[in-house]
Amino acid sequence: MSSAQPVVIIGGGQAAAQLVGSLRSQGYTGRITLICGENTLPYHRPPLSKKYLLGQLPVEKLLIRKPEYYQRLDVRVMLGCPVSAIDRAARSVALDDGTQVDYGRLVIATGGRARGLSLVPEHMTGVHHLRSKADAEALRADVFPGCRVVLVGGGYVGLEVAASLRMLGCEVTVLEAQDRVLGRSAAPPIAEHLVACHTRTGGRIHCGRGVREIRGGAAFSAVVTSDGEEIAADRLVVGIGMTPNSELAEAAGLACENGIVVDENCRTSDPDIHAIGDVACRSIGGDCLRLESVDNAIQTGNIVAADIAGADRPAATAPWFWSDQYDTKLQMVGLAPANAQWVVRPGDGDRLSCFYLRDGRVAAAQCLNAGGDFMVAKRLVAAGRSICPEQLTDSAMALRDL
Amino acid sequence: MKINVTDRAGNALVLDCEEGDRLMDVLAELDLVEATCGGECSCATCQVYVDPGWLARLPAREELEVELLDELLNSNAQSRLACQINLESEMDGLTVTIASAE
Repeated sequence: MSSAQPVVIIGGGQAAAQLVGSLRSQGYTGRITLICGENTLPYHRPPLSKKYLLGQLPVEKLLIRKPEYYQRLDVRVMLGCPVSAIDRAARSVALDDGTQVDYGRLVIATGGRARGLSLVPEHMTGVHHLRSKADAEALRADVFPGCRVVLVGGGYVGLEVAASLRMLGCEVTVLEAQDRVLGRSAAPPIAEHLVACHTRTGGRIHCGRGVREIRGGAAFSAVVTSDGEEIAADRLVVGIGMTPNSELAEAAGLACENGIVVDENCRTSDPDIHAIGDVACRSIGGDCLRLESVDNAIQTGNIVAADIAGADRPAATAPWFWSDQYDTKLQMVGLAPANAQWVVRPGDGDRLSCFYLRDGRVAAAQCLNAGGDFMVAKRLVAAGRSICPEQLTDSAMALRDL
Repeated sequence: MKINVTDRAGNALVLDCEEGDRLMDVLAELDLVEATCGGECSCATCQVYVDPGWLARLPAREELEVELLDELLNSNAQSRLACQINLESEMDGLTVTIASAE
C-alpha cells in the first residue's frame, strides 16, 4: 500500500460511502477520489420508497454522511460527474467533460437503474419509477389525494411505494404478472400477510395480471391488463426491478454477466479493478450472486477496503434484508430458492416467522413483526444450526432456547 | 451540547452535537457504529450502554427496541439502541459506552 496507488471510486451510493470510511478505518492513507454521477453526496436509498416519499424525512437526514465527513477523511468528491470511459491501459477514467482521473486501484460502484416497461411510449408524462432521490421527489410532487395510481410490479420497492402512496391518499392498484407478490423471494405466508395489510387499508393487488397495453396521448391515462380489463388512472409507477449499470465495465472489456463478475475479493477480471454493491455479481462457492441490498453494499465495500489496505478479508456473513410497509416490518436473513419449503412458526397477533432448512440446517429465515426472532435467526443461519422442524413450529418454546 | 462516548477500543471521546441530533447519527458520522439499517430499528448494530445515572433520564424504550435488545447476547439493563435516542438539551453530558459488534 502506498500513496502512489490512488483509489478512484465511480458511483456515489451506499457501497461507495462504505468503502471510503472503511479504507480510512483500515489505515489506507493514499488519495481517494469519489466520482458521483448524481449531483448529491451518497444517500440512504431505503427511505426513498418510505419516509422520504412521505415527506417525513428532511433531505439533509437522507445523506449517509455529512459533507464534513469527506473533508475529514480527505476524500476528493466530484459531484455530478458522469464517467464516459475506463482506459485500462492508461489506468485512468474519462469524465463526460473530458477530464481524466488516474487510478492505481479502481472501484466500480455504479449500482443500477430502474428497468423500464417497453410498452410505455417515450416522453409520456405521468409515468414514474423509483430508484434515485430525484425519482422519489418527482413522484411525490406528481401525486395528490385521490390520485389514481397503477403500480406495475409487486416486488419490495413496488409494495413499499404502494403503501406510501396509500398513506398519501392515493387510490392504488398493483399489477403483478406472477401468481403472487414477492414470488422470487418471500415465503408464501409472509407474502400473503403483506397482501392482507395492503388490502385492509384499501390498496388493490392483482396477481397473475400483467400489462398488455399502456394508453394515453402525451399523458398516461390507462393500463389494459393481460386479461383485457382497462384500468383508468392518473399516474403509472413502474416497479419491475433494476438493470445493473455495467456498460462502462463491458466497454472496458471486463467480464460481465448479470452485472460485473467479481471474485471473493470483489476483483473483476482485471485485478486492479473492483466492483461492489448492486452492480457486482460475486462468485461465492460456485454460485454467482448479484444481491441488491444495503447489507451487500456494506459487506462488499468492507471487502474491497481490506483488499486495498492489505488486511485480511472480513469474515463472510449471511446476507440480510428488510422491508417496511405500513407498520409492518419484515426482516430476512439468508437466501432460499424460489421453490423453498418453509417451516412456519406462528406468532401472536400479526407476528410470523418462516424458516428454510437445507440438509436440516437453518439456511434462511423471514420474520414479520418479529424482530426478536430475527435476531436469533441471524445467529442460527450464521452457525448453520441443525434443528428439527417440530422445534421451530413449537411457539411455546422460545427460539433462543432451541 | 456535548456527550461523552467510550468507543469499542476503549478511547474516551467528548463529542459535540446539537439538540435534535439522533445519537446514532452522531456515532455513525465518526464510524463508531455500523448503523447498517440507517436507524430503522432493524439491525441492532448501534447498541450502547448508558451510564447508570443517565438511564432513567432518557425516554423509555419502545417495544421493538426492547425485543431486539433482549435477543442480543451482549445486552444488559443499561442497553439502548442509539437510533432510538434523539438528543435533547437536557441530555448535555450524556455518557455512553459503545457495545461491541455481535
